[in-house]
Amino acid sequence: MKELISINGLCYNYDDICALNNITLKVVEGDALAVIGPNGSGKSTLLKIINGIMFANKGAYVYKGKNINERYMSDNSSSRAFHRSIGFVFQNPDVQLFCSSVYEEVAFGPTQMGLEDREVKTTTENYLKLLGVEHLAQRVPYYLSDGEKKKVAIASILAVEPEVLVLDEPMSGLDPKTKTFIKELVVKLNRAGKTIICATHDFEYVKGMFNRAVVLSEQKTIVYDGAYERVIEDEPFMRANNLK
Amino acid sequence: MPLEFFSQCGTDDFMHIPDNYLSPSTCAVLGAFMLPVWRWGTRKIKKEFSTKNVSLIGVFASFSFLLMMFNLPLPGGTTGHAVGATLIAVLIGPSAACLSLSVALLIQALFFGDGGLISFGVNAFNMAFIMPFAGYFIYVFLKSFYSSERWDRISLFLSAYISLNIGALLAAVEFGIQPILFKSLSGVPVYSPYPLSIAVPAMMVPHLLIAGFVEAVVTVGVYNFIKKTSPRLIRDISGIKLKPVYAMMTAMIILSPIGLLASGTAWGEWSNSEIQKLVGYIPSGMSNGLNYNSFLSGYTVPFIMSDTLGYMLSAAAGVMVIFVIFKVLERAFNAHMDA
Amino acid sequence: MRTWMLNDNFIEKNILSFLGMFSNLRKENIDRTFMSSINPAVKFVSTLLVILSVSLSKSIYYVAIVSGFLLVSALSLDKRSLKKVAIIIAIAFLFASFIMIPSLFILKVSNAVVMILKITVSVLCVNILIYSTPTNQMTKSLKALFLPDILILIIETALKHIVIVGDMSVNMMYALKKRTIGARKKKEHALWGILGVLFIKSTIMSDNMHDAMRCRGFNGDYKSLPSLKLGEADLVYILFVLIIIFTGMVL
Repeated sequence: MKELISINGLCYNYDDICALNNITLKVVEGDALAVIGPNGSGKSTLLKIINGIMFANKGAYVYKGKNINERYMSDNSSSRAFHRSIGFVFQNPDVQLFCSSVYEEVAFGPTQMGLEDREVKTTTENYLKLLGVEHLAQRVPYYLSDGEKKKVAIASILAVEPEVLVLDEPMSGLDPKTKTFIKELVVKLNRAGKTIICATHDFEYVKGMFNRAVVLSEQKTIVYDGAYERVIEDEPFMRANNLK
Repeated sequence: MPLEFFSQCGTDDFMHIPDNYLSPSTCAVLGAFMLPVWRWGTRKIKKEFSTKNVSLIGVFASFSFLLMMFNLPLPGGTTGHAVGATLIAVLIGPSAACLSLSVALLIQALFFGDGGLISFGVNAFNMAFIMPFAGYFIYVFLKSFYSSERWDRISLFLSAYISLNIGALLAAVEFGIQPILFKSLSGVPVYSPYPLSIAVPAMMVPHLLIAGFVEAVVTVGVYNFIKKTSPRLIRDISGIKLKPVYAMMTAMIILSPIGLLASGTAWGEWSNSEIQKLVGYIPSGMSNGLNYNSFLSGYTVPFIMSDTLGYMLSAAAGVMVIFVIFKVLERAFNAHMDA
Repeated sequence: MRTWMLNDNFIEKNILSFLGMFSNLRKENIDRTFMSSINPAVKFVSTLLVILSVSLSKSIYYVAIVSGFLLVSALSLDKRSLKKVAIIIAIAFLFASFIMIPSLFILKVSNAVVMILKITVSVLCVNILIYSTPTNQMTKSLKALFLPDILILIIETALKHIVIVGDMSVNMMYALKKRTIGARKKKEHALWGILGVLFIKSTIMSDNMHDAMRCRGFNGDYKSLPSLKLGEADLVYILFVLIIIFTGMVL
């Protein structure tokens, strides 16, 4: 299996506060990785670094053989290719919904990537259907309910067909039906070949979603990297790290 | 309940000029001055850090809008509003503030009927261009004299107060010149009928006595809060030293509206017969097509007395000069910023 | 000196006006009426032209004709909007009259009346546009005025954040209402706090939005999808507007 992500000795500090401490992590194609940790352990920071919107102070992040740093991302075409390959679903959907209709929101990515109008139309319609939001196509995104917003956000990211899908606590604030829907969708996507990296707090609705887990401690380091099922069942470990 | 409707008539404060108080030619002239400003602004966005500026301007346009909407408690139990142009200019820079305020004003006019559509250019000129730039430069100018926290606040207070009153003065002048320049055949003013001698005091008194202070207090209050809680967000302008020539220019800019006012007083003193002589120059054959011609007459006025034309041209030229000065100063400041 | 902070009602006023503002922006589902079925770009340009021609006119008859035309278009609005528009133009009329009273010393009554009517008619015209057009259609119509796409994105961003940040401010004001029983002095600081937090949140949101846009490959070019289809209703409306304007040129 191809190694997509290789992170070595990554540290991130700001204003004398350490957000990530010596992180070393590898992700191969087809992984479904859960990033687990209590509040403030650096999960979001790690995800943002993986997505090339924040850059570490120390250590290396290599994606598909390319060193991802500020210089690399300052070039427009590299940055575009990178963002097309890794998609990021933010925790707060409001942050990433900025078009005035759901249809445009989902069409935004493909249009920006330079697809033909006809292709944009078919892609958009496909992903609206996949997420079950085609009936919302003409609605204004920021007036939708939280669950609907989340689905639109996911659709808009999937529309550029990334190889890796990163999700930051996708279940937060959603009702049970939506949580189940998202879980099933992610499992489907993973089976179809997409690599999944997902930060999560919620262990109830994610059964079967992940094969691997990485646990971040309150000291901002990785304290576990292995099979998902094994760590979830290790009660004392989970409690010691403020996860249960 | 009617209170929010009140604001929808374009009259919640006198600074948002509604339609038909000013002639279309006035609106067109001032709107035309804004066009190059906006073009320059949007081009700047497209060129440098396009995404960052789009999100910046969009979000701060919403902030300006909300700030203008906000009811502030005033002594006596009433509420008032602030414009916040100086505050925003000091926090995000005058050119970003100009665009944000323009967008906020556009949204107010187009989605809420607050401020006219035809007079949008004028409102933008007063509140989105002159106010933030004047406030910003006056602040930097005053701050450069002395370095202390207290003086910082005093300079901000003064610059907010002055910039609001400059805006009000401009609006007053715009109202006041209407009866002189735009009349029907019988010498009757077609738009705002109050000459400068009435318009200026009527606008300036409430702004000098009340609105200016409201603006200044809000500006300093919010600035202090931000400085205390997130000082990193305050643009660092302490290192900027104004060269004497810029100091002189700033002083000129502050004084020039007073110059307009001085010549305005002269206008207000014209006797009736002089006014009739003015109108008498309009050829009688124009009576039918007067609509279209009065629109054009703002630009080419061959039949009006040459000194009126001179006044108009000099006012226009003065504004052009101010614009060029601001542009130059902005570039100079940017050079300092990047250094 | 602090005793003038006695009015708690500024919080009430703010909450009410913000809520009113949201409902104004949120007119997503407008009943199908004649005016709402017209292409928003057509309506927008017509509104501008009508206001302009009223502005240029000096004849009271013309203003009367235009007001007749506008009242007829207004009748096609739904009942609730019609009531609101009626209140708005009543207030505009009263306010303009109030301002014009001192001018009666300089002008004849008929001239003052023309001015007041012109002002009221312009307000009516704009509000018909506002109340018959959903917000997102209005932004699209700006394309018709050759506004650059990037400006349209900025306007849409601004509208979105007005709703989001505005919603947050309303909640802050509700919280303020609950927390300030007695201790009047505190409210002044709360005011700077609310506005200051709004600013700080705005900077955070602007950074977040920037990140999100970068993740979606945004590089400065934004093509908003056009919606310039003209139907029969549009043509009828355009015809009427053109008649109005020609009348204005004649009168």
